[in-house]
Amino acid sequence: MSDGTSMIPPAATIAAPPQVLSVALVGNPNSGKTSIFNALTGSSQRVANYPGVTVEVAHGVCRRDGCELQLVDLPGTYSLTANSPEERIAREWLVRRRPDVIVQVVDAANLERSLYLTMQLAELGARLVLDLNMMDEAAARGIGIDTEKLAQRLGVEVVTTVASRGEGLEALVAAVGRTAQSRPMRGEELFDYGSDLGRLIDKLAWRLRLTNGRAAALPARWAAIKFIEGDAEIQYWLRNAIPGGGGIANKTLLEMERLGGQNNQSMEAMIAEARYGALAGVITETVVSATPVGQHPTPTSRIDAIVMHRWLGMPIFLALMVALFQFVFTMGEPLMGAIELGIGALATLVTALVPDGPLRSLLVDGIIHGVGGVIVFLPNIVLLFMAIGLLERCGYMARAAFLVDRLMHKIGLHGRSLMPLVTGFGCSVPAIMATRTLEHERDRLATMMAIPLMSCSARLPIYTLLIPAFIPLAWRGVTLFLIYLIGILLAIVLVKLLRVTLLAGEPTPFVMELPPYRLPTPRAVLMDIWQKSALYLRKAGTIILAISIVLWVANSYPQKPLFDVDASAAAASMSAEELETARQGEALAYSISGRLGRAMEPVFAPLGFDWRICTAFIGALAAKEVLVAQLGIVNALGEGDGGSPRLRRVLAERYPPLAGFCIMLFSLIAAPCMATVAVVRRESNSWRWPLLQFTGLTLLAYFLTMAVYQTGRALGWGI
Amino acid sequence: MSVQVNDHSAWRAFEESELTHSAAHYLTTIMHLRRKLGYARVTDLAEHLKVSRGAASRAATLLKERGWIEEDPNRMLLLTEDGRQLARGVERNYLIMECFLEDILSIPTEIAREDACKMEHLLSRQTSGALFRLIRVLTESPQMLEKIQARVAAFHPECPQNGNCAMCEHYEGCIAMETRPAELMEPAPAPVRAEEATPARTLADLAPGQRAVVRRVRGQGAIHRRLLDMGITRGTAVTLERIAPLRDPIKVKIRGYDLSLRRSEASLIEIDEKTG
Repeated sequence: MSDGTSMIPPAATIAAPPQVLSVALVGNPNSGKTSIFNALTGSSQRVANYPGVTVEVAHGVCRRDGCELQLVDLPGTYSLTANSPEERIAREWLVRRRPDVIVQVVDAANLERSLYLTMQLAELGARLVLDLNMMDEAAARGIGIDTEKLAQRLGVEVVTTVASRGEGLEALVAAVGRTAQSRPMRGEELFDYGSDLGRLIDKLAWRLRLTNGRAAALPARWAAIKFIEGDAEIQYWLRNAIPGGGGIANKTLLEMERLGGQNNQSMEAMIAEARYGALAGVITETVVSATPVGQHPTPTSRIDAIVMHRWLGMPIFLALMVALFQFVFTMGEPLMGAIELGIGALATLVTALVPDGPLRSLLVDGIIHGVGGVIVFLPNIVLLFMAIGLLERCGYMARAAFLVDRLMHKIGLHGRSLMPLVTGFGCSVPAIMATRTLEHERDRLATMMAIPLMSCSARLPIYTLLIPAFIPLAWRGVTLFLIYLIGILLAIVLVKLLRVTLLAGEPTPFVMELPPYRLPTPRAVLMDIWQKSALYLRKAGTIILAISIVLWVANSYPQKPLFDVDASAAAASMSAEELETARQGEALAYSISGRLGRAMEPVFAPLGFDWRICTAFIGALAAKEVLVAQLGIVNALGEGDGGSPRLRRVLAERYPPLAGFCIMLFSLIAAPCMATVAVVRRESNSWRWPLLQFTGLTLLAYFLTMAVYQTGRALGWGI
Repeated sequence: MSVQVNDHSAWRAFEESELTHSAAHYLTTIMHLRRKLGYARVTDLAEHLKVSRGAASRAATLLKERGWIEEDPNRMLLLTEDGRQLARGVERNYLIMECFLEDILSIPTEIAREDACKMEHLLSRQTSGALFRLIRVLTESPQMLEKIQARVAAFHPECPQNGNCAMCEHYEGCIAMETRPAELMEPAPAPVRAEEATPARTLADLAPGQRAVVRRVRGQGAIHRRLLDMGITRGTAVTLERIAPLRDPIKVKIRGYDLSLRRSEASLIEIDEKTG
């Protein structure tokens, strides 16, 4: 040994080799698990999606003292029952991948319910570190925990942390290192299930151990308990993957029936009761509570008394929603302006650098404006996520769900569906991402399908262009309201329909914890914003880029060699600018989009649309507000905007008010924009739902608009 | 060199050096009590085994002499390492024996339990190890096991002595023909149902501020399990804290935290009203 460490005896170097440990973080929702994860891994995170579900699992690495911890932040779970996709993923990880060490993050103020999960981890034979998080909060509530006693009673390492202040992390890492060397927990040493139930469990466990080979893939006693709990996955596994498993299953089921009959109680109830019963002993020995829980009003119950008040609750909720949107859109406006300026400047720069020709057109008209049109919404999305993240993390969102669950449940949704739907009035993309707060796949999909019917802010320019063009002043406000209302009513009908067809099934439970109010740390909120925005930007850089290029090609090719307008007599009297816009109009009419528009004309004639409107709708596939610009171009008026009076005049001359209304109706319902399609594809992890949504809504829009137009014409309204 | 069946010396040696039936029971009971309650006192032992306190105390003294248990300053009984190993060995023997009797020999559960209980402390490690291997080999292929079991069940001794072989003389009848006695196949006692004449009160019937104790969680499937996982089990105290402005869902306090649930879910939870 040539270095300075030669004094250390060789035994020590063997005892502490550079370790690579796989560590899984588990815990109840709201236990601060993710804060611990963020504090340990810093910026080394990556997010992985798992096939078939929309659950995200974050991975990260933590290097300390020559130890490399490969951390995975599993979704929050109360039990290893696998009720929701999150729980299934968490369980799958723990059972099949067998991390070296499991760190259970526990809300110290909520020890009893948290230890319920600990019991199950013990049965799994985990090497466990129990991390009592938010000890400060527990102390503030007068709850003292004898951690030494707890460690001794459970036979695991117990550490305390305050993740928001980064306290106790070193001790946690050290405990993980020690635990990796220790003996795994044994559930049967911690507690048992009483004579009859315990005998049944032990016997099944032994039968599993006795069947050769494959039973070893799962810890036998854990599998036995899960089987007796009625876990469908384990029952299937026993019958199909274990030789002779069918016989064992039948015998056990028979005995379960007998035992259940004697106790007049289900097996799962007996098991839960035994676990909680054993816990009660642990709790009395280790927890000292200065005031009996529930005696004194906590800050949380005081706030709840106001925000969940019978009369005040709803008004407060509505006021908060209005304030949220006001905040997002007033704060977002200047930022959006700045980004637009930036995109404009970039376009000018590229125009100056690149010689005129197809390349410049592709870069400027296709890519910069296409992708830019989506990036422009970034400030709104960031602000919206910030506001929602704050409400979610401080604990109000659960209360909001509580307040409106009855209404949402009637429609066939869940209390938690409300927030994504409300967000949908801002932008469908973050709204669809926000459906992740829903626990069950069916609720999530139903909500996702309804979101595009909430008139997003990109559709507002269409309404503000068309309403003044066609509707008399007195009726404008009513018409706008009507459009929004139609969207909401259609969403209700659609969800009801989905609930009896594709998404039929038992109503999903609303058994939900109402976490205590907490002040979110800035770090946590920033983390939220960063992750969501990064997702949005990545999408802008991939799918949206590709579609932008396709649409650019459709709008630009084939090119018209000679413009009719140049040969016409009027050309001489036109200004250069007028000439240019007239040429643009002709070029678009000649392009693939224009031809497609003409080809579509006969199909859309019953809706009151001519080829110009059809062409404009093709452009609107990219983003709804593009409709306005395209309408300007096809009507040879240059790129219009919501406030263009000239475009309004031309439109009013060309189309009857009924057709104007039909354009709005069609753009409300039909074909969610490409960003929405992309994000639904991502969130549902299949092409099935976005395609269904796209075609379904387009067909609905087509027939509904046709019905409105034809009825209107027949009755002589607005022609 | 025939085996002397009536030679009791093996038994005597066994009694002296090894475990008696009752000692085995005491040891396993201490182990179970410690798992269940976290402690085991002589009183608990007596209560659990349904013997007098004096008898339990005498037995504990004997076990202490053997070095299988210790008493801590609070008079709590602890298993020594030797005692723990013995108790675990007995438990293992019991389960292996029961599996063997029931799964391989197809003995009815009741008899299998009883016999396993009688033999658990007598089996040597070698025997239970061999049994364990035998069960594994036999269960390796269910078809083979079924064949063997069918063969055993259908076995009919073609008895040349016609009921006069040495075995028959000795046991007053042909042991090979011994089958499951019908009276031991008694059906399970009919479940005792609580009188359901009056529909039980449920959590959905409470008014804000009222406290109650959970009696039972009805239903089945995912919602049932979810309610249990959240800590709603028999005997748990719940307080209904608040009803949503639209009258559904409700908010309850249970095990020190706030839980919301719909009325439809709350009506699955039967309660006994708490007085005072």
